[in-house]
Amino acid sequence: MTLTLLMAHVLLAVVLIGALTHQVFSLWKPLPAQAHRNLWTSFRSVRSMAYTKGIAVLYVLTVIGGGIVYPFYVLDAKQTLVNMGLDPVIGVFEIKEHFAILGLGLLPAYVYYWANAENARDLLVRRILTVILALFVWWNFWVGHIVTTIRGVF
Amino acid sequence: MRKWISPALFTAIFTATYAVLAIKDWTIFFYYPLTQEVSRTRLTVKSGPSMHWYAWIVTAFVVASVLSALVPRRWTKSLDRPLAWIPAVLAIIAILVFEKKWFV
Repeated sequence: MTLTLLMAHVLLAVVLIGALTHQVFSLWKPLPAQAHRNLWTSFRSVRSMAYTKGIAVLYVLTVIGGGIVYPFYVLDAKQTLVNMGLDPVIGVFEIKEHFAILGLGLLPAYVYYWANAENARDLLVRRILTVILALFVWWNFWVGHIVTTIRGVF
Repeated sequence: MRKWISPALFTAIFTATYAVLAIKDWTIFFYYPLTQEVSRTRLTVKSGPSMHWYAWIVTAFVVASVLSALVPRRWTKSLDRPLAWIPAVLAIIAILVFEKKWFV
């Protein structure tokens, strides 16, 4: 059951990473009108505004999934890390749990500023909020992956 | 809803409150995953490790919801843009500084 929940959590995170990364690149490197079509330009040419609500819902679901499996980390994986003296790994996981919730707190502002995406004066705020969320999701994904791998190996 | 509650103010209060709670380790309840108990006070060692994370989330959500509903929207309207991200960035920095104890 725990493994199933963990897999669901990871799969949601993968979709979230994809959506947020598309959105970040389309926002920071928008496609020029006469751009030649290739993989890179196609990656940036998504309708980023259409991703917003999906990203918010995915983010909440991913955090809920993480919140459900978190006690298993505390009882099992964390104890292994403590026994091995791997304090830096515990530290990066602590940061992951904080980032997840700080990101949750950012969502109302993120959704609000994307809902008014035609307002050019909000572009900087939109860019910053989107980049922060993307950094959180990337960090949390890799840290979760590394900790799971360490627990699996040892 | 957005006419009365500023999403930016909610974000600012939520992130700041969460950072303070996490750094000070203030919690309104303890969750013990080993015994699946929720308690207002610390239990004995037999109950296993306690988790405060859920309490921080609940507290930050309640504080941010109440305060952002109480503060009239017009008071903060001109500050919405910086409120949306500056307190969050400061909360991130504070959390990172606090957690550097694991890396020394």
